[in-house]
Amino acid sequence: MLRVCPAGLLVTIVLALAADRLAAGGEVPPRAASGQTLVIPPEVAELGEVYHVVPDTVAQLTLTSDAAMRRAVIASQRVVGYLAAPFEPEDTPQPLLAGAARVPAASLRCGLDGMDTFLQSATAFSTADHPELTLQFKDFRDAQLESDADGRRIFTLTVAAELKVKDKMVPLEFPARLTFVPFTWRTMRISLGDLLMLRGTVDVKTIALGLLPEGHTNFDLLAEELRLDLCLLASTVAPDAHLDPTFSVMEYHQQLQLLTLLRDFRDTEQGYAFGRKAVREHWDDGPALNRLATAVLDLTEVELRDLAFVRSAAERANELTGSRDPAVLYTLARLSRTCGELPAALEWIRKAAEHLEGAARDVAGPIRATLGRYEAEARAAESDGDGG
Amino acid sequence: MRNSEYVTCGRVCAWSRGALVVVALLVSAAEAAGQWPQWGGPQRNFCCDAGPLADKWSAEGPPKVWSRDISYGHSAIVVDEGTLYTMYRRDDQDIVLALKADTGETVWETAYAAPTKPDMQLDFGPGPHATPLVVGERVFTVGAMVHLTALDKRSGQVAWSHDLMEKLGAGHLGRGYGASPIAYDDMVIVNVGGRAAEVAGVAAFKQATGEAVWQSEHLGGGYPSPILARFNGVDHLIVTQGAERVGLDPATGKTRWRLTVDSQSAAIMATPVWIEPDRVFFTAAYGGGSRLLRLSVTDEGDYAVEELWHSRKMKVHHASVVQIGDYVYGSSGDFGPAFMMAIDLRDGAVVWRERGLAKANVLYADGKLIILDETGLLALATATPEGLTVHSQVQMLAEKAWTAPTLVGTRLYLRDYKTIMALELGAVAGS
Repeated sequence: MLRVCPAGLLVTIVLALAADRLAAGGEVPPRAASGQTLVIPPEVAELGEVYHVVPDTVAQLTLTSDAAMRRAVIASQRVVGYLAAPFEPEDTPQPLLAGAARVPAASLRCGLDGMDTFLQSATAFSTADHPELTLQFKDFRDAQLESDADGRRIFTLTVAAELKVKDKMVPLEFPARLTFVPFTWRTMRISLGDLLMLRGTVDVKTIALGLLPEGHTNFDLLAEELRLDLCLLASTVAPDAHLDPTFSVMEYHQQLQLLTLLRDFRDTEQGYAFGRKAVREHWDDGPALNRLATAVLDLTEVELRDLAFVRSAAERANELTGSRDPAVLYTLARLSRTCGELPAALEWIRKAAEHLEGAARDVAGPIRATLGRYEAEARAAESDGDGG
Repeated sequence: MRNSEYVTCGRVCAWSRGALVVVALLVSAAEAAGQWPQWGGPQRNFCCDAGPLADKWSAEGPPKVWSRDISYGHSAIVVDEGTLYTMYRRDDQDIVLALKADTGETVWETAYAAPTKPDMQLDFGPGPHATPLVVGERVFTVGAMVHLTALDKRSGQVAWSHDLMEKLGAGHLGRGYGASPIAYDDMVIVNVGGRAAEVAGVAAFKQATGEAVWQSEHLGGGYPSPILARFNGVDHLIVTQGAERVGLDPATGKTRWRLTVDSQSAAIMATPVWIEPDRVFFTAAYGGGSRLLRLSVTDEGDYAVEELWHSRKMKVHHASVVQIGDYVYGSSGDFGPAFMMAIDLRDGAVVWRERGLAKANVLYADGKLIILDETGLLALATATPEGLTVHSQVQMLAEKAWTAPTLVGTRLYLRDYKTIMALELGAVAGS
């Protein structure tokens, strides 16, 4: 328990000592069961408010290579981690007390095929042997409060951290900007919870990161120095917080674990092995199977989707729900459409629309909209056919 | 923290017909220590004169007296003359359920049709959310679709019923109506609240006949249940709807005082707490925080309300907090982690916060806190300004256990979406 002592100085000393001990400590904590947060060490929770890094909102970690013959921006939106701040910030000049993050190496991509292949190779990130980079914050110092208005506090500070790439530990020290934003109706569009944003930039030798071998001198395609931009949005609400009372936390975290493997680590082999195990576990639970199917179907990167997996889970869900659950029928409609089977998609979505009575607004709305869209597509296809 | 402007509404009444009613209610509550007739218990503040309670439980938890199935709903359980009353949902119906307190056997069930509305957000289910009220021979209930129903408490027969959406334009607030009715004199009083400007905030009906007695000025609707308090020798019905904090004359519905707070505090759900002799505590999640208001009477004889402090640190999402002396204890947090927290009523400062329990409801009896968190973990603790000591904790229900617990004597009544149960918390629980 953290008792609040009116003597701010004592709080400052206690927090500073605790933070020092943490900084001195070694390893970045492992991922929690969902894969979307880290296990928060009890001593970190005791320090103060824990802000969880929110993946998928911004380019959280960017490496810019400005080489002679190519400029590449390598970015990850799949960073997970935490930052701890004092509960009573007015009692201490330290705005941050601890932090750590994990970055799936496979998520660091620039969109250039050759470059992305190179980045995953043994020469560069060596993703197969070292699936993650880690970032351990060691110190936050020289903090200056720049502004404090409407609960929004902005600090400048110096951040010291260790970035571990493969077996190399790269010390980083950089000026940063830290913004605390309390929850408001406006900020909930960004993320639930009280928010903070930590931004900083530092230049790092490419060879020091182990992305090129020692003695390498040809920097035409990958620059000698990379600019590392850190832009971590974090929230007091963890990205794996489960707010839907209709299914269990365990099931939700299982879904997130599947997505972590597929989307973050791009490991389809392990991911679908995990997914098939989950399907077996929920073989008699239609809504759970449908949620697994939907999780995969909703992956934005087509190459990560296994539509056979989706079909197997969704068809079983439909069997279990007697072809009457609009959410399951909607999944089958979207699956058919994704597979280019418009007539089947239309049939499924019409069936889904027939079963909307009593359905929640967030289920009914998309089904009605999709029905309209598919019908328009069918009419267009028909008129194209007539024209032909 | 800041002080707000004074807001005055209405003249001070010297004495009213209902002036003795709050006193009478409190006296009868004390006499009826074996009852929990309404939301929040005898005094609607989650503190009760129950016990003696065991100091700790065995590893298996307190003995289970009985347990049985129930279906969806957040209605809390009220207790009157050995019978429990609550509500649950079955298909398109609201069900009012009466059970024998000692065995859990059904005494009666009364169902009525209450189809959901197309504009509702039902991801947290269709309710019912409000808790029944027992007065005399009647049980009064309000379902999520705002059907106010009076039933005979012995038979479950419906005496009268009003569809308040149809009759008065009441709002379902998106997720379904949630404020629990309150009795005053011979009336039952309910939040109404709706978007249209002509819709009353609160309405009162004759308990016997359902005849409308009064309607207040317009308010936009809200989840917190109203409470009664006595100040300056008269009774005040304290109502919380959206950003409005309002004191009404419970006999007439006339506004006595009103304060509009920031919009971030509008999504409030917790029941306000009256702090003798002249203060009222409100707490809201979603960035709203807690605030303490003080009532006074101006030289002109008007009622005035002043904000003594406002702090974002304690933000109670659900229904209950308890006040013990100069401190308020409750579970602070909404979407994220929840902390058990104590704040000092004098300035709103956080005295301590404790991790380890999820978002929770609390009640206070026999010097102990009973805490039920949303994962279904039940805890027995002692809360003092120095800290929280958890003596025992045990998993009793399943997530989401959002219904506030009920304590009568040494019997604790709990429910989630699937199970309702009675536990024995007396000395035997610790043996």
